[in-house]
Amino acid sequence: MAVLRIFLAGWLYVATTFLPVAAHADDSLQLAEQEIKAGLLYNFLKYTQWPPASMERLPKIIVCIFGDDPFGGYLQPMSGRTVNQREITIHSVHDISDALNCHLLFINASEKDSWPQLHNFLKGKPVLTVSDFSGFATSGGMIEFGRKDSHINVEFNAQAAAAAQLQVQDRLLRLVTVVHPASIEGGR
Amino acid sequence: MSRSARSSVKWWHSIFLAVAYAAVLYVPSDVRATETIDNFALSPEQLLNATVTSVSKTSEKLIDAPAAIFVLSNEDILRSGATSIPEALRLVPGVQVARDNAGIWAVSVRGFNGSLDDKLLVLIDGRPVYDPLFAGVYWDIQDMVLEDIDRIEVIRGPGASLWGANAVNGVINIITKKAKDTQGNLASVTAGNQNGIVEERYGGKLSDNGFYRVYAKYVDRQDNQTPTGANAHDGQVEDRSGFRADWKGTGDANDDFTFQGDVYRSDAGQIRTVPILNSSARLTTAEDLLSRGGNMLGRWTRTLTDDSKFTMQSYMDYTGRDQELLKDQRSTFDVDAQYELPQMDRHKIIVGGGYRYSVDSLTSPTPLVTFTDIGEKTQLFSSFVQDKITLVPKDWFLTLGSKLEHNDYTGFELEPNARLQWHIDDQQMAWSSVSRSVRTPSRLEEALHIVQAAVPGVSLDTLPNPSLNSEELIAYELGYRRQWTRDVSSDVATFYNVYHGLSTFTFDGLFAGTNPARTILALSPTNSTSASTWGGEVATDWRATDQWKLSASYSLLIMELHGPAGDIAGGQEPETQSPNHQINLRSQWDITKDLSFDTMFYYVSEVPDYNVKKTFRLDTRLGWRIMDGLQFDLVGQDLLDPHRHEIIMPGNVQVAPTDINRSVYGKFTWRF
Repeated sequence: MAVLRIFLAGWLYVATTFLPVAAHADDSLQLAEQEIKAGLLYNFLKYTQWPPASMERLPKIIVCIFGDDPFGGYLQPMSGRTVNQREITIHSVHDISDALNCHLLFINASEKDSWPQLHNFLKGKPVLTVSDFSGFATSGGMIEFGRKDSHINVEFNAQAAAAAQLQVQDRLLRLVTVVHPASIEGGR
Repeated sequence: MSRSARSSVKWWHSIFLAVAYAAVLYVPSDVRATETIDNFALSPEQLLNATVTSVSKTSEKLIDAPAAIFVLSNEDILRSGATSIPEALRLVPGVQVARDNAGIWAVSVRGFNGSLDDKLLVLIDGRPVYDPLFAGVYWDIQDMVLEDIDRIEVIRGPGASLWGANAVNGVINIITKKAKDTQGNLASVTAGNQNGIVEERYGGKLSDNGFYRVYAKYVDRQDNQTPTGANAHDGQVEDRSGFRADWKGTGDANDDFTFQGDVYRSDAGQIRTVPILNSSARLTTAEDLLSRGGNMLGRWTRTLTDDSKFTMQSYMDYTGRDQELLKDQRSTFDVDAQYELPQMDRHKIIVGGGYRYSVDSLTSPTPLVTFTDIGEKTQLFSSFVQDKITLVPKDWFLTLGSKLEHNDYTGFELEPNARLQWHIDDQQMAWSSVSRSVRTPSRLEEALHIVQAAVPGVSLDTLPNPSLNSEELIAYELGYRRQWTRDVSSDVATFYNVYHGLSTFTFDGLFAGTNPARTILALSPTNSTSASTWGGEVATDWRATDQWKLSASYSLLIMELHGPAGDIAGGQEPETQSPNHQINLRSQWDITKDLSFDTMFYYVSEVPDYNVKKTFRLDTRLGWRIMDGLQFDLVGQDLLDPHRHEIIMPGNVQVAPTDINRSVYGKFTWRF
């Protein structure tokens, strides 16, 4: 039993040392990666203007996920919320042809291989495309989530968004890395 | 219950209360605990400045794991209708599950099944739950709120290079959810002809980055009957409670802490017939299997970079079990550290080490069981190193690793492993492995003298063998995994296992016994049997539509044992104790948003030595989400048969066989 007592004493020590500290954690936010990305998606819905036609056709804001939902439950609570007086619904999309009805299309990184085909199909259509595989924004995608150290960063392909008649407000654009069309072409 | 046992229970309860009290004390100390973060209410600045917490990539890695791994998700477990962990394991290919009675189970991976299966390692959140008394698992006391299980990973084949001795034929890793993922109240009531279960779990916040949960569960399993129709006295009553807290450290370092624990009591049963010394008569009684115990585990993980971290874990565990012939108590203290180094050029290295101290105490109220010592203190030192070498970037990897252990029974044990993996393309992966693992002798083999049968003047006894060596397995494995289309994937694994030094009983001679005076026909365990087993498993998943998922698997197992004539494994033939063929078919169908219907079909070929004919089994579950937060499940288990036995121990007249009844139950689950 002596060993157990020592062990217990050790744990009480750990508990008393760390628990109060944890209870007074500092103010910097610590969130799961998918939680941050889900929050950013909401902000993009908020600060993006779709062409009037696309808004009239669809009364709701349709968010689509192409492939499996990689958000681990962090995105689903967005369904039913409103943004700019419109209700958000989330759909899972497996056929390219269904992507046309979406306002925002998140492409699961595991569907990377379908992107060129998807891109051709959506070219110029008012669908805000988002993914988190590297090279997305430089291959015609609009918003690419990346990771820098322990923060999420965003690359934005302004040319692709403009071609799709989507206007993202400066409020958001000044926080992200805007990838310029020239550099995209030059990079190829 | 003995006095010392009662004081141990008391001791555990007081620790538990102290911890619960401490948890409650800390909660109100933080006013922010009442706030929940709404990630959709955060500004883009806040989101982009937020620090990313480490997200476990384990589940992603499993897809690429060069081993025969099968994962039961939380959803799989709940949709299976299982009311216990071993029940859910029926779904896993390559795993043999046989139910002895209401509470007692026999579970093995790739053969050697029996109630005392000794070639399997089972871990709950990193804490091994195998009992060194017989090197096996008491499944009747491994339980939890099933809703709180994140997943069960089953690794077929040796896991010794990472997990150490006794991870011979497989490893079952039961991983519970983080406290953050079990917030709020969950209460469920299960009622049916065989089961009554009540459980309640509450999860709350310690701080912005700290979460906890507490739970309590009560289980009442009804008696079944013997094949002759008599009451089998096998019902089980079990109650348990526990907690888990997870929180993040402060400061610049990325620290995560987990502290968890459980206490439990269980009263299972069976009908046991025991010999009476110097008599041809035997004594049959309805035996209670009384267990109680508790455990506490703490873990500290410091994430150093994206691909490197340091983990330190420590636990203590107390288990006490009173059976008619033997009462044993065991206390274990264990500390382990693991360091995952960052990728260095072509090398990804993980090193680790551990220490375990275990104390037991044995008592027997009858002269039928005696010991060479009544208590034992054992120490286990272990260390391992593993290097995943990139041979061709993104395509070819070679993982070399080994565990080096020192135990008090057999000294040093080296358990090396080499694994080669080839990513043929994004959709295909092939792997191959050679490994050595050992099963160290159990306390039973090393110290227990048991009278198995008696007539006037003579008894047949099994004697301990303190110089028994470890059983050794050299395993050769080959596997292939393929994602055919987005909706269809397959996993094929094959194995060829060669065992040496298997422990079986050999005739040891005639001895003059005392107390009472008699002649003893002695059997003792020796390492004189070898074996080879081979087979494989094929599993395919097909997501037919978004609402309908189908899974199928086939498992093949062929065993051949070679031992000196006259040697017995407790009077048994392991070759025919595990089925040669198993087929599982499963359908998960979401009829509407609120209605789901699941069907599980099992085929198990005959198990002659356990007197079991080929089995067709059908389980179904109808789930109805009555409203937000309220779920009703109607489950039927073993619908094709009113009752059946799944195991009848051969040559072992001591424990009466049990016919398990068909089970139908309803379950309400509230989340609020």
